[in-house]
Amino acid sequence: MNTLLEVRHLSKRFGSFDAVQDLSFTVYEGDVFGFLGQNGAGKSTTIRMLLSLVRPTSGTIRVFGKELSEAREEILLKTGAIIENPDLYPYLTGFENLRLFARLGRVDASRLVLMKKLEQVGLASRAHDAVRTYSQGMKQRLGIAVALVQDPLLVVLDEPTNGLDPQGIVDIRNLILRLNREEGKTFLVSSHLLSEVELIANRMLIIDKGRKIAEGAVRELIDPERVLLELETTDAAATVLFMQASRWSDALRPSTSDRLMLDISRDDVPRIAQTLVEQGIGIRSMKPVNSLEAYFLSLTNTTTHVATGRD
Amino acid sequence: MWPLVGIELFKIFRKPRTFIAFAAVAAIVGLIQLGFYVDGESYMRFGMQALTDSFQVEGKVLNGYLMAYIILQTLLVHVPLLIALVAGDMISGEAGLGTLRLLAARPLSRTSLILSKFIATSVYTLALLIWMAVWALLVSMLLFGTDDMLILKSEVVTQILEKDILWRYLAAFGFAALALLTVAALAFFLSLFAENSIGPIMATMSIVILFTILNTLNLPIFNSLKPFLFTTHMLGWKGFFDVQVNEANEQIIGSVENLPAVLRSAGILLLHIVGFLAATVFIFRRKDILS
Repeated sequence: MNTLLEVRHLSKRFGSFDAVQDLSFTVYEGDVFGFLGQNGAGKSTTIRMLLSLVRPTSGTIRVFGKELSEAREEILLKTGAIIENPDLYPYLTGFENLRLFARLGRVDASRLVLMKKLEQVGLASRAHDAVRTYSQGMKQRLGIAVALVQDPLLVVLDEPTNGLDPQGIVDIRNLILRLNREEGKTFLVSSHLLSEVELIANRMLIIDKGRKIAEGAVRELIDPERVLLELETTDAAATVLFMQASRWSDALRPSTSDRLMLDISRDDVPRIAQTLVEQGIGIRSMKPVNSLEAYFLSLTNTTTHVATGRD
Repeated sequence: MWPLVGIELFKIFRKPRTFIAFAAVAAIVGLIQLGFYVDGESYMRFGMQALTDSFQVEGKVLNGYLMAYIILQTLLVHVPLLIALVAGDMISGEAGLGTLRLLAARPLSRTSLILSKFIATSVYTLALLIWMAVWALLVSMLLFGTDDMLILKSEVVTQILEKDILWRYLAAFGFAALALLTVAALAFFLSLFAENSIGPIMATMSIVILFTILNTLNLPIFNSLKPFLFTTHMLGWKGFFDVQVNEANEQIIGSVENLPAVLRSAGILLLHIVGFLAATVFIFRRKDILS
């Protein structure tokens, strides 16, 4: 595997606030690399440093084997990016926006090529309408076309599905997977949705408060045989006592409410349900949780209740 | 660099607000011309009453050249607002739209990005000035005809021969270009610190208005400041209409009474432009783009 992007000990401090702290990770050629973190975790700041929009306080960024600080233009020539939700130029058409950014990326693309890019993101029929008439989802798709227009080796997408409807999210997900498989493009995709990253990424990095929590193959970090389960019963205290005395005592995870959080194998789900009922504990609801917040909980081992601000 | 300038010009001239300035100049100049065309003769009679009591004035006093002078004097105070409308939006507008981060993440140097934006701003400024020149001078010449030009000042009346006027206007418009580019460079610089264009436009106009007020107040405390205010030098174009006379009190064709002062003012404006632009490039190269 060739290393495409190598970040070492990257930090960024704004005044007294550490936005990113000692972050190191590697993206390999052909990866769809998920960059996960809750809002405010430091994802956008990191991405801005990767694109030389923000100067790191310390640390190094190597892309395509070269130092970003020394070969900025050469690296950006082969990197496409969309950062958060740009409005683009509302008084220009989608086609004009794309042509403008193609020229800025030193691409002399023909009308046919540009239209093909717009077709890829489902905007060909609205190519000649002013962007001010586009929905948020359409602007987001145009932004992705802008990121792809210079045929980059590395595509950096910051929250690409933000503001999209369910069908739009599926379309973008399929587009990323298709470009990765068919054209071999490497993607770094940030998101605050674990479920989103789980569906498209082969490797991922999770950060929280600017620090790395985990990095590795998605299959290793998220065990498909296990499930994080939110359980609501008729008697929460009795359920906790029962679980602590059972063979599932290790499965309890911190919870934010009266509902219990269990990290168990999928095979254990019907067994726990059956045993609880046999113990005279009624089950109100049992549902798998797939949020990033829940994933953070599954990484910890304590059974104390924690406040996350959701209650 | 030049393709970048082309892109920036394309963006400027596709924005509806760009044409507000052209429409405003045409409307204001048109109104002034209409007013003078209808009531100009009586207005001039009233204005020249003191002069005509002592001298016999022959010829067409209210001609195209005088109209252009009146219009320039009126408009060069207001045109900076129209310049700031576009120059103040050049960086802040991009930040507000979220396109600044897209531009800065393209394979371009930040210096060339800023310089291309400033060159495009300058082209817009010059285009507006040429538009103003066409309306103020050419249209006035067509409407009011041509003759020698009489300029009335508080204690002096200057007569400039018709054959000696056009080059003075060329020079005056050249000087006005420097004056307006100074305002453009200031608005462009202020645009660096905002994420919408209202702030830089308002700030630019506030500075121009404040300095202009200081210029008009004849108080010792402000008089010492005046040489350092760029607005003092923005009116230096008028120097091209002060002519030298020989011992027989005849106008010396092609002369300017105090050319060194005019050139010094031009130099000071040029220094302001270079200073504002250099500061913009310096700060933008080091700026974290967080918009």
